[in-house]
Amino acid sequence: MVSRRNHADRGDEVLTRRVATLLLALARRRWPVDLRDDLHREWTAELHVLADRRQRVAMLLFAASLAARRSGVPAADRAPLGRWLLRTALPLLLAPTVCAAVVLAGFVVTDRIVQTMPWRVEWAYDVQLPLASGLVLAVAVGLAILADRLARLGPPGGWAAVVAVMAPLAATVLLIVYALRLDGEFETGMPVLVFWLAALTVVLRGAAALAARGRIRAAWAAGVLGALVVADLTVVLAVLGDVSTGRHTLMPHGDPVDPVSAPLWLFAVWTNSSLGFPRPTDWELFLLTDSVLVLPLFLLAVTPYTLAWVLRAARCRRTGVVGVPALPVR
Amino acid sequence: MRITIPVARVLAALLAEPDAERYGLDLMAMTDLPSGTLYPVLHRLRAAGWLAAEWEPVDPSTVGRPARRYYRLTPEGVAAARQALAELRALAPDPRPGLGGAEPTGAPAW
Repeated sequence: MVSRRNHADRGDEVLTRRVATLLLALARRRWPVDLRDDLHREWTAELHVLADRRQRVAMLLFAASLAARRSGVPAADRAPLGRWLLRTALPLLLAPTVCAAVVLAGFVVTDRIVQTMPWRVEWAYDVQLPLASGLVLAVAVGLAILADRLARLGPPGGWAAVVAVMAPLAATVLLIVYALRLDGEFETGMPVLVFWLAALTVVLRGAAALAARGRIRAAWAAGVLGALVVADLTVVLAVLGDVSTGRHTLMPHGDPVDPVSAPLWLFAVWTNSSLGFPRPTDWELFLLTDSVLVLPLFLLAVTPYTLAWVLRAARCRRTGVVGVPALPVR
Repeated sequence: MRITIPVARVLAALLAEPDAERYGLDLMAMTDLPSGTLYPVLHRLRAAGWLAAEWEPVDPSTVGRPARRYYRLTPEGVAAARQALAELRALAPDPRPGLGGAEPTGAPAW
């Protein structure tokens, strides 16, 4: 009985803290950008004191009062809601569509480049895919740098940032699948896409947890490595799904692509080469690129910005709460 | 600096012990102001140079909580606050005994 009551108390405490934290996040936005971090840090410290005294109602009143009242600073000095939405929600909503457009543009641009090459250059078509991959990667890095800057204004850290990044991505992918449902190709690939979204969510959350503890390099290493493994598995599942269904005309039943080289398929499609390994062979490369041409490039376009946004948000959360060196203000 | 009732309350509380370090929760308790009113007042006083704020010099990992920020009147703020409260008291038709708290040991009455 006592244990159950303690458990309920603990649950109330966690709920109170979460509600108060949410209210503080709202209050933070009522202040000028240059004051927000210090004020949020101060309020969080005061909230911590109230939590230690188990004054839950006082915690909620403290946070609610801050969230309800204006800062009193001239409006021009504050970031209004519209501007905040423009800088955070809108980029996150548009980013997946932009990535899909970048992949499409990559193919169109490289096709034009290849077409303008002299017809007698035999390797022209061999470089089209690496060129497209390079172009997509360049834009993806640019998007990641932009995401790193914009994430400073968005919801800080943890699951909030992961959900903010992944929800629009999942919605966009679903919309694309729905829009292209008559084609049939995306319907059969749906489980693979769901796996990719779920696994990437887990990787991002893990990397964010590391970043929140101040282990930035480890967070980036885990994030990049995890996202690569997830993307690799996604491509493998997509190709094997193609083989198992025998849907594709160039992939009849009978395993035309040897799975022994499966871990290389993602990189093979990006570079249109076997990277010096005996497999995949040229014929297998042809089958691979014919089976999953767009998906690997879409993963390449999307992953960097998701990782950059989530890690920056996690770092902002860390500097906004605990573990920060005490700095003199004035 | 426009002296409103909340500003006067905060100044009176701070003048009670000008050298004392006051945290936000302390000032809320002393002035009976909600946090949403107190922090804008503190910001105005800091912007006017009357108030200084510093983070307490503790290691969060050692004390097990985030460092708090405390406030103290600057020498200029002490003089200005005393003058402002004195003027306010002079304006009042029936000044109450502890109104301003301008005296170093006076308790805040607002």
